[in-house]
Amino acid sequence: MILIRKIEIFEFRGIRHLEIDFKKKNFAICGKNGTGKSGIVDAVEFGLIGDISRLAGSGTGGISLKEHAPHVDFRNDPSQSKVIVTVYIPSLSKEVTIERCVADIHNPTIKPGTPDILAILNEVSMHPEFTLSRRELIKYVISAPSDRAKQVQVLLRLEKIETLRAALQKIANADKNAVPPLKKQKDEAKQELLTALGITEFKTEKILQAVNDWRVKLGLPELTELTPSTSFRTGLTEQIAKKPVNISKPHALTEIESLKALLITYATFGKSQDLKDIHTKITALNSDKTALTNLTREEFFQSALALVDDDCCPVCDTDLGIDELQSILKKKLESFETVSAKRTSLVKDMEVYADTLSKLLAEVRVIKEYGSSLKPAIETKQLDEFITVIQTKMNQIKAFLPIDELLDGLNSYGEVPKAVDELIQTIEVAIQAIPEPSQQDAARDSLFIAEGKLESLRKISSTHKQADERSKISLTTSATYGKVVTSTLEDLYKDVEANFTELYRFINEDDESEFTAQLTPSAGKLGFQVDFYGRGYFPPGAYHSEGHQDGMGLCLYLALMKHLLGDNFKFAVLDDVLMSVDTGHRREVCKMLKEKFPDTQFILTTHDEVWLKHMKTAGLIQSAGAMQFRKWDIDHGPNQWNDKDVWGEITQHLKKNDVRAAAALLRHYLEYLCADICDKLKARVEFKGDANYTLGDLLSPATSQLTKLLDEGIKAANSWGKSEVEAKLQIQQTALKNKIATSNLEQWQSNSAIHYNEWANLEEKDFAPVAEAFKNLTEAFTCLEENCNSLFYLTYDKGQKDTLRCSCGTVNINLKKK
Amino acid sequence: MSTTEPNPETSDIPRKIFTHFIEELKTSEIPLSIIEQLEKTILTEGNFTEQALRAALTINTEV
Repeated sequence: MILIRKIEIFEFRGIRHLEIDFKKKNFAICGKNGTGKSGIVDAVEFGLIGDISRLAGSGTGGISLKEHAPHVDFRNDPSQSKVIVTVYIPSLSKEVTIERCVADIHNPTIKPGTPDILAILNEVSMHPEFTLSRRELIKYVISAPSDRAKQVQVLLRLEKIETLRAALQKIANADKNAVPPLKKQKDEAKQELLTALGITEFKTEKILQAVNDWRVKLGLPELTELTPSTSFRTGLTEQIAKKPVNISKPHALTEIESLKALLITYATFGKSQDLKDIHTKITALNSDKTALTNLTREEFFQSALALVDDDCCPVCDTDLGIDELQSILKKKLESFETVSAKRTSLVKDMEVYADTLSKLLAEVRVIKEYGSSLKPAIETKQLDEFITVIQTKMNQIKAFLPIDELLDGLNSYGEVPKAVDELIQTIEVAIQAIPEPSQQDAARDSLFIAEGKLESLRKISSTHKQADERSKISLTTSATYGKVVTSTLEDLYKDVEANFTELYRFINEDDESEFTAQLTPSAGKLGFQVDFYGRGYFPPGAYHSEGHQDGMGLCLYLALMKHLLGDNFKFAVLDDVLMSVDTGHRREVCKMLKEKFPDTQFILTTHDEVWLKHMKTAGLIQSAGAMQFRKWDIDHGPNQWNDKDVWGEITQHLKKNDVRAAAALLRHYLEYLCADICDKLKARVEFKGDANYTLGDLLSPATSQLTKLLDEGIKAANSWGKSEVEAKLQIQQTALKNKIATSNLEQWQSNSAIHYNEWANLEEKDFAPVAEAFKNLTEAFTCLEENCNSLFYLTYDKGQKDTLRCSCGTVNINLKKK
Repeated sequence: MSTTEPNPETSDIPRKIFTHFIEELKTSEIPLSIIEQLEKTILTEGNFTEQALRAALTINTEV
């Protein structure tokens, strides 16, 4: 999307004023901790998107952008704190400047502010993941699958997918839960209709037979079919019955008989051995304090599970994801399996007693209505009280806890107050006193009552059917979405997995060339397992070192960015990532970034000077593509080295007559450089078991090897008849020999009186020429093109030495004879 | 160096999934009117609230 050309920072974070020309190329910023490196990262982020990611997130309570983005001396005047970023948009071939001030974060000045440019910048703002810090890198590698899924989802902008999934699942769950209660109501309505019809089987012919019996008595034609619109009362004109009371005497008496039989059943149950056994078991449970506590906890978790219908915990509102929440609760419930099994068994045993109470409740209410409908009405207070008792017992059995209350309920199960029996009797007598209806009146009443029950059944059937249909639709929708998401994400992650594996193998070719990984998406999670030397797949943190994990995090990030942006992955900031990666692998990381992402601009920060030098020697950055901060202070911000290379630094030390520091730096730098030279030129170095190679171990082999390779180049040129090349190489070889001589290398190597360690004891006037000589010597190993500056390296062809060359190809010496 | 902007189809993964989802629904037994309403809610309006989705799913479920 964009490349960064330049940034200018004013009074921002720890920076007073700083201008950096990135030139749209890779750039490295090096400095010890606290020298201001991350301030530049913050400035890039702020300039482009108006945010600083490390000022947000966990552990940043009390920190805000507006308050803490300006330099501390300007915290009360944020208008002075601003960042100007100049970017280049390759697709538009345009350059644009974004000036953003902390005082007005959301209104940057963009020039030019044309719609096409604004669209691109808007796209950039939607990809804040262009900055990768170690904190985020680790999240990709060693986090719980649900956390990793969220991290990756944010990067790939997949949050909407999860939002929709959660919403559809919530709807499906709610619709599914709505069906059983409606089914129960439908079954009850069906039973009521059967009772009203006086039949036991819900069959069309039985229903029609019962209805037609009444219809015939009323002189109405028989119904021949039962359709959704059939009315039992078809042909019957509405007559207001001139009855003293609007009670169907036969029905009422049937219902009273039914209630009386049910009360006997209820009383019998109350004295049953079965109920006593249940009571005993519950009493035993009640006396076991541990079991009781577990029961309470189990109930809590069951309630929580029932309440989970979105991504947030119903107790603490933590956003964990609906599947994760359910998984956690189910796992907790597993630990209460024993006591849960006891409870389930007891609840099942009590079902028949609960059902009896439910029937009793319905029937007592019906009789109570009769009492109220009689003329004169009969006081039914005792029935109201009995209804309350029944309701309480039902609630106690349903709730189960607290157990004391359940036991109380069971203790008095089956008891029918005498007053209730007497009241039912009174109502029965009053109903019996109602004049007998004529057969026709009875038939008419029966038709009306049955029709009412039929309408209720039709209504609840319709509601149940709608709910069932709705549930099927929402379940199918949710399941289909889940299937599509899983298969798409599987394909996506397969691509990412392949790319990740390729990148990781690249940087770990020496020890993990056969490496493979598994990225496995599931609802709300992203599993990440890696092969460990062919022993199987494990989480990255199980067996791999921290350094390897850092490498994995970077490779995964790069693979994801490549998938997300493709060829438009133009720019990324890597903020001190790979801290734990060792020297050898860092070289490979530099190589990987250079070769696999040649069109991507990387801005890298590191506190390690050696890695900075790796980046240069690997050609990831040019010599002008780096900035080194040596220190920071509050009044001036970061301080760079005056010269951007080691030699300037050495000269600075010498100016202060600090030969010790200059000597130490020279030796340290030469040791690093010569190790790299020996690697690139494949020089033979005497093996040391502790791998602690000093300058004395490395310098001679390096110079000898280069001399030898130049000699081979001369001979090869000669064999091809290329006299000009031959002559040029001879001059180069002579120059090398002179530089070796000037550096007095042999003296330093062999003369124990004047060893490298003795440099520190030299006077400035004596050491300066030494430094100069070694500077010239190191140049002999380097391409002098300003845009290259890389060390020479050997290439091979079919196992044979092929060329000695530099990164840019200016130096390209054939070593193969004709 | 490529100068083309990202193909919306490749970088807008959610949209790709939503489109595929609607296509899959069309092969199921879910009524077309509901699918059309879901398409409008998700793809056109980008509305992922429970309320909007429920409204889309309950249209024409009267039996």
